[in-house]
Amino acid sequence: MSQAVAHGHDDHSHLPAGWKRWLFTTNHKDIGTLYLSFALIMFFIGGAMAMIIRLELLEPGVQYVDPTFFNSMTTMHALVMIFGVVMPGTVGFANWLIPMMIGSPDMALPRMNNWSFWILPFAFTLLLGSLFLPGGGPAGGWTMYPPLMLQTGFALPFVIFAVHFLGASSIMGSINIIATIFNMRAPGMTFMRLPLFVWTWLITSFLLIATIPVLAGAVTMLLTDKYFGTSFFNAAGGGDPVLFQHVFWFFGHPEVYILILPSFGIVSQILPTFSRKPLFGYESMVYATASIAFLSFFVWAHHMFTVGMPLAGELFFMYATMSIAVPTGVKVFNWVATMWRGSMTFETPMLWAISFVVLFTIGGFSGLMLGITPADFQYHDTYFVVAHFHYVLVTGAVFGMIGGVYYWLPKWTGHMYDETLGKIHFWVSVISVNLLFFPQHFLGLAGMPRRIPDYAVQFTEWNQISSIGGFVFGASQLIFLYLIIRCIRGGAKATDQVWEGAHGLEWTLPSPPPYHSFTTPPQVTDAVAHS
Amino acid sequence: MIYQLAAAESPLQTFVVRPNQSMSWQGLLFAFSGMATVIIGIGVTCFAIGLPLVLPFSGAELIVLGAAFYLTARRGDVREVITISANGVAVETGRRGPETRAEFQRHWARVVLERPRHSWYPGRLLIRSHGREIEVGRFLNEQERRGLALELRAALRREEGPA
Repeated sequence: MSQAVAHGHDDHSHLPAGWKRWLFTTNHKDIGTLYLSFALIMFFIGGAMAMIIRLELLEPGVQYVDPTFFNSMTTMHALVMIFGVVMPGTVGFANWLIPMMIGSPDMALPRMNNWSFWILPFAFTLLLGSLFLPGGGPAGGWTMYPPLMLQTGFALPFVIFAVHFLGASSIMGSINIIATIFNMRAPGMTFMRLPLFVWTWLITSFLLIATIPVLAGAVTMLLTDKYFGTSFFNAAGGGDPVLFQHVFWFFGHPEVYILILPSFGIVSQILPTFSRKPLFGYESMVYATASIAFLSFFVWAHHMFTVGMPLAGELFFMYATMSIAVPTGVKVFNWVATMWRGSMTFETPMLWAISFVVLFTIGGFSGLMLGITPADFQYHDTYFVVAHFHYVLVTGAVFGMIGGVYYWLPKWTGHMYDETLGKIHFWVSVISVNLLFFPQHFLGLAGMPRRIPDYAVQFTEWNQISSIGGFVFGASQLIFLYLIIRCIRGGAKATDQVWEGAHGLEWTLPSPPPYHSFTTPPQVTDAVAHS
Repeated sequence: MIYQLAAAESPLQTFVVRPNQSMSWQGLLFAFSGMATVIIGIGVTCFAIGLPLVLPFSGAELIVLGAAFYLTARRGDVREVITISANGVAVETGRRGPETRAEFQRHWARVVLERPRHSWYPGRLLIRSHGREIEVGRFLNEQERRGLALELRAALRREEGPA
């Protein structure tokens, strides 16, 4: 029965070095770093596409790119930003932080963690490579509605397989996060003691595993309609193209919360730290997050009010959409109440978190306007929608993530970032992003349709302001890149707690979390207690 | 998690080391059943309204989810029993009973807490003697690993009492 398992001394170098370290790593911090680095690279690729879009829209008429390429840019920009920036970025935060926050040595399934990251570069090679295929890249919008999407050339199967890979990566990441949170919490870390960031990711993971198979099935049926003669969405063959819209948005609306909930969690960590108060209404925050996620399954058709549906359906989806404002309002109220009469200081992460609360709320309000069925008939497919979802996803999800990077960067690298540069980055970004997106509300209300390379001359001024804001916002992110690189390479030594008001297990570890440091006497817990 | 199963004065010191398992097998089954109901429910509904290809993806996902839960639960079940007797150190590893066993001479055995090459990686706790070594507590967090190292060193140094 028994056998010797001891091995020789020469097996010390069990950790690969150089590029192999990153390729074969199963360490949650390495993988978190890979995800975050990947998201940053994709942020600049997706951002470059946005610059092309804004350049073309700087003036009426078609100046720089042909309309099909413009449509490819809008499609790819969305796919890159959603699947290449926000989702991997938030998974990067989850990888770095969840094990440290719950007191676990690593993720539950480290090898699967490695696979779920390394699928991403393959998927995006397929996706971005499709731009160079005959017929150009996908130009039917990230929503991939048939029959328009079925007119895509050789790029279609590439896009669909890329979406499959991205979905598989997301599912593996989610399953890993669920298994980690369920199984690997430290003793005493009950569910209602979990940091809110961990809660938001747990709920996000449930949303992902519930909805990704729907997306996978829908795009596969798109593929079979194109290449295998089926007619799921082809009216000529007895199918229904509107069915695709329903099934896509059954995935797509929860996807919106998949993108924003982790940033809710990040902001819920930052605000108490710099207000020097506990988060107001922790339990209500947990229930509100769960309620938002639950309700997200019953509101999908508000994206398609104009497609035609029974009045009862329109009323149902309108009221269901309105009801999401209640738990969202609870969260906004709790963030504000956390800051109320706190000993607030305004370090860079706090500035991003406060701007998140203000600007995300603007996006939430414009979402409510869009949720009113008769009003939506007017706003649908206009720039008002573009302004709305960019306030939610850029000043919401992305601002939350940038705030999170500033908040945890000293912990990750062991160095303090340049606070002055961080504040310059913040102020330039927050002013320019409002120049970029706020005028789009006016353009939409005045009737400018979305996804067009040309427009009527009366829209010129606001488009020019928007484009200039876009260029400044894009350029200001180079400050962010420089600041991160500089912080990784050196800087003032960060303390363990980093921020005076920070609480949580991750702040009890040294910066960077060293595991090996013997410069301080080892803290002996369970073992010594037993002796 | 580390349990010590002997009086401190005894020459026979036994340490039981196991991963922290924060959810019971029943709890995992309950959670899996709930998730399976939702995932398959959505797949079956899609099938019923003319979207048959959602269901295979739901099924595939459920298999991966089940496998992940099973593997993590099984890994959480492992035990390492380190017994330090008057003359030897035995390390037994297994689930329901010992599946592997390694033995070292007590007076030659050393407890080594090895630094990782990169600061982000966990250290390794090794029991080493005569060119052989075995890693213990791979699944512990760093604080626990350091604690166990101290405990093992103290136990090895302890004078032999009456047998």
